Amino acid sequence: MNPLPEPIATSAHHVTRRHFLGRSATGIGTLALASLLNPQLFAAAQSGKARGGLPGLPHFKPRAKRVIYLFESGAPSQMDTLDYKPALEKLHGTELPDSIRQGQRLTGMTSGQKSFPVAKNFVPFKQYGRSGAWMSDLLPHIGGIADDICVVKTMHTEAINHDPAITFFQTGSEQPGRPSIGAWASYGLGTLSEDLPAFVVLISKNTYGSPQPLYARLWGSGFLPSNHQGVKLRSTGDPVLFLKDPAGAGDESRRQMLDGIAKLNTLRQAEVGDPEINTRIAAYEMAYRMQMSVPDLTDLSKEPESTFKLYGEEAKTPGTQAYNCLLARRLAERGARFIQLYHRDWDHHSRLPQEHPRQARETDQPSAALVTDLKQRGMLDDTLIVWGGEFGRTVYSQGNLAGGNYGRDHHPRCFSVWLAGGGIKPGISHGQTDDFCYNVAENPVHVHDLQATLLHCLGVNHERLTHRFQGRDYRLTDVHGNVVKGILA
Amino acid sequence: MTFRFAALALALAAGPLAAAAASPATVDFNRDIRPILSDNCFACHGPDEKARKANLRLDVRESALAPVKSGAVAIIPGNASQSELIKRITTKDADDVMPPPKTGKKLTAAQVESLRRWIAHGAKYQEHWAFVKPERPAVPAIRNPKSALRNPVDNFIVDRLQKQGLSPSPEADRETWLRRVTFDLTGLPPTLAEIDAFLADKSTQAYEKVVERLFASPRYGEHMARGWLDLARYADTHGYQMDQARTMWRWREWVIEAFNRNMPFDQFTVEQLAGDLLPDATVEQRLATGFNRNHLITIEGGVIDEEYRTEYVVDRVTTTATTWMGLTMLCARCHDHKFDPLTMRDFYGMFAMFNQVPERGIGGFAPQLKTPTKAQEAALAQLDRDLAATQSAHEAAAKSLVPEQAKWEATFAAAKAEWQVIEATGLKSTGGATLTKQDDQSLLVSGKNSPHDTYEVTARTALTNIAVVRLEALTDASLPNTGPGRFNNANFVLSEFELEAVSIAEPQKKVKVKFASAQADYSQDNYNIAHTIDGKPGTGWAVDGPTRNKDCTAWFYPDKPFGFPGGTELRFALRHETIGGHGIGRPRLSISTSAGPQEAEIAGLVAVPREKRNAKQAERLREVFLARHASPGMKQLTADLAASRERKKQVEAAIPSTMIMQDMEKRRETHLLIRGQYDKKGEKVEAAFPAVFTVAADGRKLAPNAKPETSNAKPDSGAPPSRLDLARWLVSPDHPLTARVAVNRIWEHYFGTGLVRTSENFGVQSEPPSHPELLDWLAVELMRPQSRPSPLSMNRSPEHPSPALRAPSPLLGGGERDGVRGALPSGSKAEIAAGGGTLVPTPQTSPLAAWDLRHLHRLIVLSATYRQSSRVSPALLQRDPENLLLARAPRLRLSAEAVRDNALFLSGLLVEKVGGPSVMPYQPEGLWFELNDRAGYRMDYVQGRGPDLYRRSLYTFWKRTSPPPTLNLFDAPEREFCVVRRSRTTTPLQALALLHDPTYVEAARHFAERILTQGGATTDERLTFAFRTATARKPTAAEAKVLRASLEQQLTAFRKHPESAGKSLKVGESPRNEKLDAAEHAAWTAIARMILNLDETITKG
Repeated sequence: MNPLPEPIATSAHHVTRRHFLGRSATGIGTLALASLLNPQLFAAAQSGKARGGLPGLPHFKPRAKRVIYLFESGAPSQMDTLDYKPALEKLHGTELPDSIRQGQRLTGMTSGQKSFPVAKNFVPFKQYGRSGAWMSDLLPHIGGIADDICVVKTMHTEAINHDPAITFFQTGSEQPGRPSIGAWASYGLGTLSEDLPAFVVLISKNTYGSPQPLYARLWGSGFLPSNHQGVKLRSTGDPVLFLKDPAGAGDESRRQMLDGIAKLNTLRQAEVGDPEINTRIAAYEMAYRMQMSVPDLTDLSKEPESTFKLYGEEAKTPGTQAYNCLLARRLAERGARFIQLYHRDWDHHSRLPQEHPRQARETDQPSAALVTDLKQRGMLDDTLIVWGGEFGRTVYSQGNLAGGNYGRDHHPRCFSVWLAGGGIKPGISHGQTDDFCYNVAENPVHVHDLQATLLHCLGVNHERLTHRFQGRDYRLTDVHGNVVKGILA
Repeated sequence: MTFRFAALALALAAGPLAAAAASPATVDFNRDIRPILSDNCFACHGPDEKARKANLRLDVRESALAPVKSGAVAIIPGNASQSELIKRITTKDADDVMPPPKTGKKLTAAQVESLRRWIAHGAKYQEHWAFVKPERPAVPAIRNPKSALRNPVDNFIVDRLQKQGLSPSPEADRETWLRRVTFDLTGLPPTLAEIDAFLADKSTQAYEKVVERLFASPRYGEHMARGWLDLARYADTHGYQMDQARTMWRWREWVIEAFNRNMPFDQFTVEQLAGDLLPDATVEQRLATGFNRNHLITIEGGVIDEEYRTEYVVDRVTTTATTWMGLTMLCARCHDHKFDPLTMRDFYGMFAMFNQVPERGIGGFAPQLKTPTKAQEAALAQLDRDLAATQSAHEAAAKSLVPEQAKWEATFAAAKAEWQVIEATGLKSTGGATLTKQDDQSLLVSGKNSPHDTYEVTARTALTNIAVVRLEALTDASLPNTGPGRFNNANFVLSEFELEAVSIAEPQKKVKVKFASAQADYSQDNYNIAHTIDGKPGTGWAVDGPTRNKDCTAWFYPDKPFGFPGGTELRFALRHETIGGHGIGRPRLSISTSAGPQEAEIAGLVAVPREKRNAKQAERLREVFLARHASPGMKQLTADLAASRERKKQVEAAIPSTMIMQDMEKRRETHLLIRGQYDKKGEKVEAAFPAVFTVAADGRKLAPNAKPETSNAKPDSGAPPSRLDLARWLVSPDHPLTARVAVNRIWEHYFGTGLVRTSENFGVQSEPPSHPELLDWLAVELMRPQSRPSPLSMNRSPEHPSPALRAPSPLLGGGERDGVRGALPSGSKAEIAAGGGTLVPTPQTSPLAAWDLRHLHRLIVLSATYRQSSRVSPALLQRDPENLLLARAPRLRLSAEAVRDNALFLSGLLVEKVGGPSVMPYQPEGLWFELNDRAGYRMDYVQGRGPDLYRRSLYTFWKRTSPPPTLNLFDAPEREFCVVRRSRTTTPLQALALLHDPTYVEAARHFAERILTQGGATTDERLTFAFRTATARKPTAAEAKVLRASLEQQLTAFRKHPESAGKSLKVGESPRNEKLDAAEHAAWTAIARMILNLDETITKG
C-alpha cells in the first residue's frame, strides 16, 4: 500500500476559508456559531439576509427570494384545464391514430384496452385578460389572473406512474435517495427566517375521495444533512411536531427550565471546549422562539374579512387548500424559503367529468388569490409560484366514452403547468402541443428544465449547486436540464 | 456532511502540517496526482469509453503517453512543458483551456505545479491504493513516548501526531471511559453500580473485564445490529406509494443473534449474501439472505412489472457493493464508471448473480420462507408429540370400526346440491347503472358507474329450508378487459352481501337472513370473501381483476335454513361501497336446500368404488364417517385429534413468513441494459466479478479466479459464478476491499469519522485515508485468525503468538483457508517502550476464528487513543477542528436510537426483550393518515400498550414513507436505500422533541420517582444521584447550584399551583407512584427533564 502521509493537506482544495465561515448553524463551526448567537443577526428576515447556505450563493442576482410550489398531485388533465384544443371537437369519439400514439408505452391500466377513442374537453374554454389566454371553465379564477401567469404547455416527463413521477419532480430522480428540491434550496441558500424553518410542507386534506398517498421522501433531505428536510406544518395536533409544552408546564416554569439547561450547558462548554455545545444552546433558544412564532403564524384572527373574500370562506378551515394557500402567504411574509403545498386526488381514471370539477374548485380560487394577494403586497416580484402535477392525462378515454363516466389515463408526453412571480414573464404561454394534445409540437420543457429554471430564478446556476456524496458532485438536475429562457422576464 | 471542512486544518494551521503540504519531498501519484486528474479530467478522459473525448484516456499510463489523433501527446515523461496536458491547463485561450470553463472546474496554481513536477519526474502511475490487497505494515516505533502505548493502534496514531508536532490528550477519568465504552458497545449507559464497581476495581485487567462484560450482554448484539439495519435498508413496510406492512423482523433477529454469538464476519457475509446456496442450508442460513430482500417493493397499479423487478436487482447490486466493497457500482448501471475502472459489463456481471430470484415487479413478495421463532419451534415439537400419541390411539380405535363404515357408506343417500337459479322479478341499481337480465338469468351491468352502487334484486321461490346462496360473478365481453368487475382494471369490490326473506302469504313476516359464513373459489389478498358479511362497508371481496379475468363463485351459508311455506320473496342487496366504481359486472344468483357442498362431496366419494379411492379420498370419507356416526368414545378421540391438529395449525399460521433469496431452476438471461433502462436490452452478459479485481492490466488473471476453485458447484465446469461464489470471493483474504471497508466502518462507529472519511466510497474519488497504515494493519488483523481472549490471562508481548489454523469449513468452500493466513506476521519494528507494549491474550484452547469483530472492538476500546480525554483547547480546536489526527477522544451526540433508549434506561422504563416483531411506541396522532388515507391501503398506527411503549428503539415499527418522527429528527435515515453514514445535526426541532415528546416527559416523571425513592434523603444527595445517573459523574459545585436553584423555583411554583403539578404528572401511560407528594414529584420531574435535555446526557464525551 502506498503511504499517504498528508491527507489533510491533499484535501485542501475542497474547502475555502469562506466556506468555513459560512457554515450553517447546524454544522460544526465555532465562528458560525458566534454569528448565530449574535442577536443582531436574528433580524435576518427584516434585512433579507440569509443565514446558512453555501458560500458563493446565490451565483447571481436572484429574481425570486422564495418559492411557493402548489403541487397538484394525481395529475390534472391538461386538455380540460390549461391547454385548449378546439380541434378535438371534430375528433371526439374517433380512434387515436397510431401516427400520434407512436407506440408510447401505456400503464398497466389501459395497456389492455382495445380502443382508444379521443375525448374532447368536457367543459368549454373562454379567453381571459389582455393576453387573451384560453382557460377552461374549471379554472375561472385562474383565468382572472391570466395576465399574471405564464402557462407552460409542453412539460414532459419520463415516468408514467405516480410514485416515480412525483419523486422525479420533487427530487430529480424517479427512484428514492435524492434530496428534495426544497432541501436543495435550504442547503444552498439557507434561511431568511430567524424562528421558522427554511423549508415548510403543507398537505391539504381532501374533503372527499381517496387520494394517492404521499411519502416523506418528497420533502426529504436524501444525502444532504437531515436538517434540510422539509418541516410539515400540520393542520391537526401541534402544527410543528412537539411544539406545545406538556400539560402543567406554565410559561414561567418553561423559561426557568430552559435557562437552567442553558446555564448547565454553558458550564460544560467552558469545561470541555466543544463548540457543538454552543450550537445546541442556540438550538434550544430557537426552539423557544418557535413556540411563539408558529402559533402567531397560524393565528388568522387578525386577517381582515377581505382576506377570506379573496381566498374563500374555506380558508378559515385548517387543512383545506384555501387555508394552506393563505398560510403559504403568511409563511412567505415571515421568511420561509421554500413552501411546498400538496393538493391531491386528480387521478381520475374514471368519472373524470364528474370528479375533475370539484377537484378544480378546491384549488382554483385560493391559487389565484395567492397570486393576487402577493401582488397587492408587492411580494409577487420576489416570490416564484409554480402550479402543476406530476404528468398529464391521455386524450383518449379510459373506460366507456359514450357513458360519460369515462376517465383519462396517465400521460407523460405533454402536460401543462403555470408559473408566476419572481423572474417569470407574465401573461404568456410557452410551447405548443399537437392537435391531439398528445405530443409536444414545439419548445418542450423537461422536468429537469423546470427544476433548472426554478433554481435560476433563485439566483442559482443548477449546474453549480452540487453536493459531494460518494466522492461525486451530485446535482438536483443530475447531468441534464436547461433554463427555459423563453419564460424568463 | 462535513468532510469539506477537513482541510480547514490546513487552511488555518501554521507549522509543520502546512509546511509539509506546500513542498512534499516527492510527488506521489496516489496522494497528489490522481485526486486532481480524477476530479477534473476523468469524466471525459477516464474509464467511460462512451464519454471519452478526443480518444484520450488519462487514467491509464500507456494511453496518456500515446499521441492522439491530432498528433499531440498529453504526457511526455520528463518533459512537462511539451506535454499537451500542461499546455492545455495553462493556456489563456478560453476555447482550448482544460478543464472546459463550462464544467465550472479550475485547477489551482498548486495543482498545476504538482502535475508539472510529476511529469518532470517521469509521470509514474500507481494503482489506486484501495484496489491493492492490504499488506500488514510495520508498526511504527515510537521513541521516547510521552504517553501510554497500549496496543499498536496507538503507535500509528502517536506516530502521526508526533510528525505534526502534537501529542495525545491525557487519559480520561474512569467514569468517562466507562460511559463512553458502554454506549459504544451496547448503546446504553452504565448504571451507578457498574460505575462504582469499576472505580473500585484496582486490578490490572479492570478495563478488559468491563469490555468482556459488555460483549456478554445481549444489548451488544442489539446495538451492533442497529448500525447494520441502515446498511441493509431494513424497514417494516414496502416503501413505494401505498407502503404497506411486511414481515422481516425475523431477519433482524438473525442479525442480533449473529452479533451476540460473535459470528465471524466472513460467515456473517456468506450467510447473508448466499446462505440459501450453502449445502444443506438451514432455515437460519436461508433467513439470513433476507438482507437482500429488504429493498422497496411496489404495488402501484399501473407500473410495468419488469421495470420494477429490474430496480430490485439494481438495489441488490448497489447495496452489496457499497456494504462490502465501498464501491459506487450504481454509476456503472447506465455507463462505464466515470472514475473507477468499473464497466457496465462489470455492473451487469454482478446483476446476473442477483437476477435469478423467482420474483415479480408488482407485489414481488415471493419467495418467502416460514421462519419459526425458537418458542414456536419448541411449541411445534411438543404439539407433534401430542398429536402422534392421539393419532395412534385414534387409529387403533378406528380400525375396529371399518365394517360399520361400510354399512354407513351403503346407506348413504347419494345427494347432490341442486341449484335453483334466481329469476329476478325486480332490478334496481342505486347508483343509476342498468341491470339487464340475460338468457342464463345473469344480470349484465352497464351504463353509469357510480362511486357507490347497490344492486337490489328481487325474486320469488317456493323452496323452503334454503341452506345456501350462491353468487357468481361472470365475465363478459362488454366489461373492461372482459371483467368480471366494472372498474377499468376489470376488478370489483363487493362490500356487503345482504338478503331479506319475506313471506308471500303473510307479507308482515320477514326475516333478514344472517349469514354465518361465506366461501369463495378465489379471494384477493386482503379482500377475503368474509368481508362481505362483516357489516363493514370499508372492507370487501375482490378477485385480482387486472391479472385474473375469470368467473368467480361465492357461497353464503345462513345460520339457519330459511324460506316460508307458501312462497318467499327474496330481496338481495349487493353493496359496492369500499372503493368507487368497483361494481360486479355480471352477477348471477342461485339458491339450494342441500346442506351445502359437503353432502355433494360425500356422494361423489362414495360413488368411487372402495378399491379405486385414493388415500386422500379414503381419509376424507373416514373423517366424515367418524365425525357423524361413531361411538361417543370414538367421537371424543376424533375431537381430540381435530383439536390437536387445530392447535398445530394455529401455531403454524402464526409462524412469520420472511422474504428470502432463492435462485430459479432455470437461469434468467441477463442483458446489458442500455442507459440502464429495463426495456433497452443490449448484449447478453454472464455473471462475473468486476474485472479490475480479477484481471491484471496485462490480461493476466489475478487471484482469485473469476470462478474461484473454492466453489462447491462444479469447480471446473466453467459455469459463471453464483452469489455464493461472490460472497466467498468478498471474504477471501486476497480481496482488497472487504476488510478495509468493514474496519473503517467500525472505526467510524467509535470516532465519528472513518480512517477513510468517505466510508461509503473507497473508489478513486474517495478521500485518502488519514492513517493508511493503520487502516491496513487493522484490515489484516481482522482477517487473521485470533485466539479467543481471556481477560484474566492477558500478558504483555511484542507480537501475537502464531495463530493456529482454522479447520476447513463448508461455509467457505473446502480448505480454502488452509495455509493462507497462518504465516507469522511480518516482523514488527516496534520498539517496546517502558510501560508500553502490546496487550495480547495468550493462546487458549477455544476455537480460533478469523474475521473476529470483537478482536477489533477490543483493540480500539482498550487503546490509549480511545482512552484519551475529549476535552479540547481552543488551539487544538483550531488546529484540527474535526479531530482527524485524534489528539483527543471524540465527543459525539448519541445516535437517534440511543438518545431515546438512554432516556428510557435512566428512568427505569426500558423493557429489555431481545427480538420479536416491531412495536408502536408513542407517536403524534394522525401522521400516517396525513400521507395515506386511501381506502383499502391506509394503515392505522395502533399505539402499543405496556411494554411495547418502552422497548429499545431498534424495535420501533419502521414505516418508510413516514418514519418514526423523533428518530428521524435525530438523523435516522428513511431506510429507502443503503446508508453508510448518517448526518449529525443539531436543530431546534430536536430540542422540541426532547422537551415535549411524551416519551421524554414520561421518562422524566419516572426518573424523578427513581430519584425520590433511590436517590437518598437530602436534596444534595438526590441531585448528585440524578446527575451522576445521567452523566456518570458528580456535578460540580456550580452545576449543583444551578440545579438546586431550579428545583427550588419549580417547587415553589408547583406548591402554588397544585393543579399544574397534577397535570404535569399525567403524561404517559405508565402509572405514577401515588405515595409521592405531587408538588415534589412534579418539581423533580422538571429537574429530570432538564437533565435529560443536557447536551452531556445525549453525548458520549
